[in-house]
Amino acid sequence: MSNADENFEIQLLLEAIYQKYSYDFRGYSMPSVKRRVNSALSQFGLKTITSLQERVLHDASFFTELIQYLTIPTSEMFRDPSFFKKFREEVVPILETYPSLKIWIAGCSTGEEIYSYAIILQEADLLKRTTIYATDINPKSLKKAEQGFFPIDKIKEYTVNYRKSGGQRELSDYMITDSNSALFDRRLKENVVFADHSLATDSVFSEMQMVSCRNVLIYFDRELQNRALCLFKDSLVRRGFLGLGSKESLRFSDSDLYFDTFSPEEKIYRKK
Amino acid sequence: MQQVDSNSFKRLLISNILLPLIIGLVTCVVFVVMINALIKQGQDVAKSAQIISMANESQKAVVDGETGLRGYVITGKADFLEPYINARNTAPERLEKLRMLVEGNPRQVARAETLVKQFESWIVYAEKVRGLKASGRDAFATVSQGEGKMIMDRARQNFDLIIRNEELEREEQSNAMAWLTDIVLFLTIVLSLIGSAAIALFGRKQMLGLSTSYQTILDASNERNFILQQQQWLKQGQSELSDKMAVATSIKSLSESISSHFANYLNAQVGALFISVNDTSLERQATFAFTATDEQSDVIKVGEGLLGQVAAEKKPLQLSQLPANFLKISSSLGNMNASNVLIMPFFSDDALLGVLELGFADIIQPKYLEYYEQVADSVATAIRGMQLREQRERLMREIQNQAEELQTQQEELRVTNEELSEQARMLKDAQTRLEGQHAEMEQTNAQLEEQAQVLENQKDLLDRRNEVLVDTKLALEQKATELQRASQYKSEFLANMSHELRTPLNSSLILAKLLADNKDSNLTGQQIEFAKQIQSSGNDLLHLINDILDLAKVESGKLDINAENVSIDGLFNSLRKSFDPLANEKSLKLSFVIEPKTPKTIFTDQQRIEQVLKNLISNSIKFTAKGSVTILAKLDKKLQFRFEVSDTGIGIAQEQQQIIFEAFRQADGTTNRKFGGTGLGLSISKDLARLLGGSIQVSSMVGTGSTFTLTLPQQYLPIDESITDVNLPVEQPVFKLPIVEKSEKVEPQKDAASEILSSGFFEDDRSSIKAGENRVILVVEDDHKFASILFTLANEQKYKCLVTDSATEAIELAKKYQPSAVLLDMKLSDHSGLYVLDQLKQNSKTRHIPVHVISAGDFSRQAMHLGAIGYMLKPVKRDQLVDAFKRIEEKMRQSIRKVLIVEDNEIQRGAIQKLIEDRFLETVAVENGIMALKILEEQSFDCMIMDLNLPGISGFDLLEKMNETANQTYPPIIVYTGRSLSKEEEDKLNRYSRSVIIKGAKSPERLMDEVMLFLHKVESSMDISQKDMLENVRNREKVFENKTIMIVDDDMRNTFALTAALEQKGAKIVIAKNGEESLRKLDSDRSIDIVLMDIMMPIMDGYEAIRRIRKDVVFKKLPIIALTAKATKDDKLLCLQAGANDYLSKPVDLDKLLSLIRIWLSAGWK
Repeated sequence: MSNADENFEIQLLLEAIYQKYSYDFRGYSMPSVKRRVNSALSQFGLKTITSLQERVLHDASFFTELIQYLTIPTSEMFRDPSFFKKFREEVVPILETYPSLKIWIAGCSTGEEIYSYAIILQEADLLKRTTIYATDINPKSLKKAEQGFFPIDKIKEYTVNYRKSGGQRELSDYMITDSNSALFDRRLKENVVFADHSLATDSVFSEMQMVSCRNVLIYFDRELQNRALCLFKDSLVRRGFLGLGSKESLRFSDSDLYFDTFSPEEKIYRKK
Repeated sequence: MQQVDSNSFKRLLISNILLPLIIGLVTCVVFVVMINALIKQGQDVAKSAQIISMANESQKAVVDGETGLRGYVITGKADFLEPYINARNTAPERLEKLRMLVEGNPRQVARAETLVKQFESWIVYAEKVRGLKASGRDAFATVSQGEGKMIMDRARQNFDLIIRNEELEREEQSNAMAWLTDIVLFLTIVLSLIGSAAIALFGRKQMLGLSTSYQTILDASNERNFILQQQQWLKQGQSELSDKMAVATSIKSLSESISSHFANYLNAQVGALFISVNDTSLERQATFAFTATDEQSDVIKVGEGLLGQVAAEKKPLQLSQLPANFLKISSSLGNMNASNVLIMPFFSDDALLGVLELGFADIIQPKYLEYYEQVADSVATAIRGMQLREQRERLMREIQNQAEELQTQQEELRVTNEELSEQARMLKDAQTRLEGQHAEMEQTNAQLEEQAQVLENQKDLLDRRNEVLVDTKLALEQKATELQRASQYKSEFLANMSHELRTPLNSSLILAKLLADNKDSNLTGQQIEFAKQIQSSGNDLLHLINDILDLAKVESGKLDINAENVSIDGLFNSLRKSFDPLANEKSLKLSFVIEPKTPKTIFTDQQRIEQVLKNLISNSIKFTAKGSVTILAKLDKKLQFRFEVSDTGIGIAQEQQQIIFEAFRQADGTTNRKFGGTGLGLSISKDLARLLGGSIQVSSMVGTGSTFTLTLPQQYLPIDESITDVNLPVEQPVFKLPIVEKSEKVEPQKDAASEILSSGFFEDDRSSIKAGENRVILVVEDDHKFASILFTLANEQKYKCLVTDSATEAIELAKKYQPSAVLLDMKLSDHSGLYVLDQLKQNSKTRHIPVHVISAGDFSRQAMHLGAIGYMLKPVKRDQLVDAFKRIEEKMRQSIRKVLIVEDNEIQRGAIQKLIEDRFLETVAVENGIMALKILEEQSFDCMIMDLNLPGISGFDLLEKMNETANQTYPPIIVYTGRSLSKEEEDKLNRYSRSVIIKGAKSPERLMDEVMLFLHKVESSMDISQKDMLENVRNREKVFENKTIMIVDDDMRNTFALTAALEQKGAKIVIAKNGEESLRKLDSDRSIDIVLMDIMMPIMDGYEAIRRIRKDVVFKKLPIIALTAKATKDDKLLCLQAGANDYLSKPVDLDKLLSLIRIWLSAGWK
């Protein structure tokens, strides 16, 4: 199949998904979508994207499976520990000056990042006056995030990251464990609102002191990136913070003008 | 030239000013010298006059002296002497003056000195004369001698000489002076005349030259000014252009700046700028007042047309007097012709960058071209720079894109990696299991071979017996049913009776003990004896009951084995202590021997081994009247432990040696009466030995004694399920019947179904199961007949049914068909059922499938721990199976998990219920153990939370009870207690329940977490059910549908607008006009999902209303969005402090509000 045909078929598939389920993947970066659709094809044993489309249209449960391929639910706690170190050491002292805080974690995936932020905020005694809006489009990821279970074999790595991020306590203080899983202290998520929100179709909903959207924009094409960044810009209070993933940048985006660079290495920006 | 001018000008200045000055100066000097000479001469004259006058005065004084002397001499009168005296005094003085005056003129000095001497000599003479006269002597004679006169004459002569000399010198000097003056005057006049003439002559010439050169300079300066103006124009244009080019951000805007600037600056009326696309073509990027006609292409090839030619040649081209229709300059009002065209290329380093074409109505001034020459380079540089910049930007974007793409791929890789490592882990697991299986199979193979041989032998026997069997079968079946029923009754009866018996017995024992102790000392010896007898009988009775219970337990397989390392020494010591008194009493020698090389410990159940040995020893002692009882511990050839209990007692006859092991039998019916005992001991011992993996043998000769040998493995290993399963029907004839028999009995009409055996194990519905079929049951059962029963039953219940006897296939089928439930036997062809259960629960795809275990062996606890929803012990009734299906049905419907709470304290009960109840968890709370047991029978629960202190039956008893009723599957238990627990209690609890929690400050949360973690493990909610996901997916755009939103606002217009917007989205709206009303509405309408709360309201404002709502525990999490009119920081903070979840400032941005409501509705709270 020629490349153009493949692109065309994928576009049709994404359009169909949007029309039928209001999940908008049309602004996702094509090479990545292509790879993931292909991996779904081989996983489901289907030959053509059209046949995939047919099943998606007639079988909602099939679509719920497909979402798991179209989104990449991967994350780790205190990912890029230096980012969280910066957050802990330089952003938190500024956030402390607000009487109440709202933080939006856009594309929270399976929740590792939420708990990372919550722990740091807890250690700064900020968590109780913070509302964290954790949003994602993948209902499964969102559910996982809300449950707060993590495989026990990951905890070792997370502990290392936690330490590197400047954590002084024991990560295990925040969880109970059995032989398979670790469950994070429910008080960490007491002020977390887990909700469905699409950066592609939904709009601004509150004003935030910080927005964290890490390793999400990389899946978007330029236009959708601009849309998302514009949402963040409109959501943030003046001098509010925006944290992006290590390979993401405000450069070349329409919103570049509205932000100062707070930490170029850690991709932390501050609204002008 | 200028240099030269300035030199000549200097020379001019020198010649015309300096020269006259020099001449004047020289004249002055001459005159000064001359006047000085004249003055000197005057002084000389005056001096001469002075000398002459002095000479005259001196002469007069001398003469006066002479005259006076003469008069004196003549007259002798002293009066005449006065002039002489004066002269004598003054003359030397004057002569001295004269001498001084003539100093410098030696001749005159000599004369003056001569005069002094002459005068002195005269004075000498005069004194002589005066003295002569005065003495009265004749002075005349002396005078007449003439000496005086001669001196005087010579003096006079000298005076004259001096005077004459002076006069002569004065005249000479005057003459010389007059001559010099004339000469000097003459020379001065002549010199002045010559100088003036020279100056006049040369000065004029030079002045003329100067004037000419000045004119030249003036002309040059004018010319330069003009050039400067030109340059100024060029420069200004250049700087304006570079200013404009500097602000351009793209090729397009740069092109526009360039073309418009050129057009404006050069007064062109029309223009177009082409920028090179590559080496061979140019593209029009900007125009100035230009309307492209259809034939005019946006892209021009190098060499094509005039512009292309210019591009190729890289030289500007000027065209004049063009035909009228060559180029039109048009405005909205009219047209005119451009008669001149200028085409200018821009290039840098020989690379063409762009070409600008301008059309002029006027002529093209030369400076235009010059301007072009001036700026061409910078324009080229700007275009080149911009091209590079755009290219760089393109590249940077490309790099950014690639970085992102790379990150995406990395993320994807991570996911794949995680999946792979998961798979690798599973593979490893599988491999380990396979290895295990392999070993197992080898072993089984050997066993099978052995068995085959045995079977072969048995076959002959069987064949012969078959006929008889067929005849008795019917009768047996009848009996079996009865027997089974009877045994069940018996079991129940035994269990009940022993409990019933124990209770009164306990009290009589205690009372008897009290009596026997005779604390009040009011009983006779006989009475005490009676009391002791009662106690002893009671004890016997208790032993009997315990024995019966033990037997029942052992036979129903409910006895738990707690293996540990048991020290042989310790074991023997304890036995010795127990039996020494008894042996002493009977004067028997009791000895314990441990053979050398016997291991110090054995890994087995201490309590049970002790029980067996005690039984054997007490039997031996009991049946031995004299002699000894010896207990020997050693290892046999198979390295198994042997405990030999030998006595010198009555012995057992050969034919009775088997009977003694049967329950309720003794070797001789009469023995009992003689020796006491229930006769159950050996039977129990044998069963216990078997449970411990060993056996008991007896060898005996009547009259000489017996030896009971207990053989045990060194390491206790739990009896393998499959073996138990095989052995059960054989080993437990009293309580159990072979399953097959029974099922045939239950479902005789289904025999036909059981005949449907295919080349595979069972021909099931797999061919007719469609994708997405949601009523499918997987039966994993190795017994054809029972499988067929289940198959039919499943079909009756409208389930499609899959049947397999293989664990491996079962797992595959479960993955493939995603059945609604699995009915699982423990004994399978390849693995145990627990393995299947474990595998199913480990795989995320099958984790959610409820598994119901039906097995002959009791593995209920392990099964429940692994996550089975129910457990049934074979044999099962049809009703029970139907029940099991019901349970499955319930499980399928049940998307939320159910938790049973057993807690007597009402407040506490409510608190726990509130704490853990959420939209995923349903709770049922009961207050005591009885109710708990009852409700457990009726419903199935995922988890149970219980207090230990309960009224009626205690927590421990409840656990015990639940454990006893094995057919009743009980959920995992979390004990929530305020009591501190002893080590034993804790151990005991751990046997039944999974986790012990002590009540405390932090424990409510921990309890919640424990429940979640537990349910997660058992049921793995890690993966959201398909149903939930579907719900989510379908509702993405329907978040508002069927949701109730309360709007609290006193402004009706506001309310109306919001209502309209929200209703359009499908929400139901409840309206409250103030805070108070909102509270009432909340109380009456529990369906409210979210509240929009205005702050400024009459009666009760928003802050107060929110605070009051939050006071109610039920509404702790109800989303409330405050709408504030003022949006100051303080207002927002007040809203949040009052308990609002978020706020929006008025006037409300509807988009934002909808978005915010959507977020909170999607998060949910109930």
